[in-house]
Amino acid sequence: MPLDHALAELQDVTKVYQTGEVKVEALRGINLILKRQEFSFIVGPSGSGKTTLLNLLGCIDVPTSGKFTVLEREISTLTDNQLADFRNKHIGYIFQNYNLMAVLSAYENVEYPLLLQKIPKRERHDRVTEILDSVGLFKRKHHRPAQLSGGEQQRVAVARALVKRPELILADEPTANLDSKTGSEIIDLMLEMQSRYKTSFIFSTHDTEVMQHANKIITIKDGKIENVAQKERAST
Amino acid sequence: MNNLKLAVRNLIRNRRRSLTTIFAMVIGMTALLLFGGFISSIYSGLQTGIVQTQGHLHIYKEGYLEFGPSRPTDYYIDDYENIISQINKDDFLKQRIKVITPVVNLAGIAGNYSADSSKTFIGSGVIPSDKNKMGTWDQYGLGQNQKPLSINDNNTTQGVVGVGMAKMLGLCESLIIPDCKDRPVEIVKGKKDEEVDEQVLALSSLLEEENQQESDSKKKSVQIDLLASTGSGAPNVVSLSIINARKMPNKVLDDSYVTMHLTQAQKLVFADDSRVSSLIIQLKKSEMIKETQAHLSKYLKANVKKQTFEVKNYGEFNTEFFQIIDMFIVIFIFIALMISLVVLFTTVNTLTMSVMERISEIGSLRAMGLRRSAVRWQFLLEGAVIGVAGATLGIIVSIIITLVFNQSGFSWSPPGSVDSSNLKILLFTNPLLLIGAWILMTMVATVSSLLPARYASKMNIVNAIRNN
Ligand SMILES: Nc1ncnc2c1ncn2[C@@H]1O[C@H](COP(=O)(O)OP(=O)(O)O)[C@@H](O)[C@H]1O
Ligand SMILES: [Mg+2]
Repeated sequence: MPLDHALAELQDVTKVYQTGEVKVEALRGINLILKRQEFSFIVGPSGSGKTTLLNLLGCIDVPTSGKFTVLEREISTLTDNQLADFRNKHIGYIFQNYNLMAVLSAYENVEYPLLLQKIPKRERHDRVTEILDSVGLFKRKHHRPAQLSGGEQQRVAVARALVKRPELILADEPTANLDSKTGSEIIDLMLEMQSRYKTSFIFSTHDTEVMQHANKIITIKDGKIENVAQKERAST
Repeated sequence: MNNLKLAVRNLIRNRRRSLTTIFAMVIGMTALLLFGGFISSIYSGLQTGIVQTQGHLHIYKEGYLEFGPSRPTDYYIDDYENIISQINKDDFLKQRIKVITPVVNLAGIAGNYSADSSKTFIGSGVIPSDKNKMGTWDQYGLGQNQKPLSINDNNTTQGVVGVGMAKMLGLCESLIIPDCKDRPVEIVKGKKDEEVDEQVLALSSLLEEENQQESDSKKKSVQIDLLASTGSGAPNVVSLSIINARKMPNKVLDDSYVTMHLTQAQKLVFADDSRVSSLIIQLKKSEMIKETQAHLSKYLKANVKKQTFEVKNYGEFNTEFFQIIDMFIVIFIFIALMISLVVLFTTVNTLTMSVMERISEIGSLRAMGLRRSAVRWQFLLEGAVIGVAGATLGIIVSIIITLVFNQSGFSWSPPGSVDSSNLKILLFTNPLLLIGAWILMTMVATVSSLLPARYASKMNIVNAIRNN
């Protein structure tokens, strides 16, 4: 896919949550174009709609109204299985709570997305080994999540998102549960991985300190985009 | 890392919960299998008893079972020896038949004039050696053989009665029967005005002379007289020297049964030694019953033109057998249903808890691109693994308990039998029992995972991820 094609396009996208009588407008009229191979931050206070926006971009949720495409695809027209396959192929996820599978080792957690893609054993082994090495966890590959620290678990999660070489990796406040030192190590890791694998990253945070390395900073408040700052990335 | 491994690991992760569920299944399976094995032993014990005494198939003249007893001289098999030799000519039948023997069924009044008592009787005339051979049939290896008859082929005037019958006729002391006492002797003069008695008396005095010689040689034996009506309705009497009493499986029989030599019975009912009431056939194996019955019916129709026969199997001439078995099967089904329900609820509960604990895991897997159906399969697989584990362990435990139980030498007398035999749980007689129970339990556990699995697969991804 040529570089100038947009990663995602949102036109007047709204998202309304209805809980009984109460309507919550989580997103109100988002207009946004995201380019490929960028490292974008979505910054905003808690409750501003960051997670909602990321869920849309991650194709696990659909907008209430507006036009919305990811990788040129109209997401709302896809069936559930098509969506799942689309995510499987193109999208990696990194969660605030790591959400690794408790019964699998670090190695097996990273291997899992490749199993979903039915990639043969040898190639799986090579790719998992390589990526675990990149995130500095090769020595701990046989440990289960419970035996790893929060920072290590998040490294596994980064490796798990990267291993299938997706177009887009979404990280929803991935440092929120980590101390600031470990958190900035994780951000450094992601930045490094982004430049190595040329994957697009979208990273949400309510911490404005951590974003000096972004290509793009999208500030969001009350479900509306306040500001989009585009800049050349400082070299690492 | 395949799905099966994943399921096993998830179950091991909640070791205690999974083990509790599996344990519940094992208890249910064991109860079901042991009861099934017990039914098997009732089935084979009961069948063995019937086959040893009554055989598998009876050949009657058509209509005998319905009308025969009221007109014994209309419903008989004529020229029976010829029919037996005809049957023996057929290879198919010959290969399957262990014993074929004639029998005369009869009923009437038995009197012991020395003790001044009489009693209605039912009885049969048999060939003792054939009967004894039948008594050794033991397809299932139960070792529950019938005691050989006391009468033999050579002496046609001897007979055996039920213990109750012996008591009523005042034979206990003469025959030296354990636990049997004769009626206290009061000298009551027999009522001469009773017609039957008079007739019996008259006829028996004639016969007594005839049989004098034979009965003298037996010290213990007691001469009784049997009165029965012949075809024409006229009474007929023969004497029988009773040499032993034999406990019968139920009171009605015990109080009225007389076994005698075929010839003597023929003399009493038919006054003709080529006629019998029926032919009894005992097969080598019970499985041969249907094919042999069908073949025999056709064969007789084709080869014996003068008479029309019907061939009945033991389920037809002994309806009790299948009634008892059916009753146990109904109980078995009921228990199986109950156990399935318990297992169902236990497994549903376990798997629901498993789903609840892993909501955010399910959400993130779905976000990573796992299809709904894959989520469903994962939980179905967990249910199936529990099912297979529980069912397999249940079979192993049942086998161990069965082996221990069968070694312990419990004994009982199965319904319809007199002598007690070893009580064995027959777990392997019917392979369907083990296989069926295994499949049932595995299926129940898998079915119980349907609902939790469905719930897991239908989960809203966004909410599932938020659930932290
Ligand atoms: N599933 C939901 N049901 C109802 N309201 C929701 C739901 N998800 C989010 N919201 C509401 O939408 C708004 C935006 O939430 P969210 O996108 O999670 O914000 P952020 O991630 O920036 O904290 C909040 O007011 C939140 O309460
Ligand atoms: Mg959020």
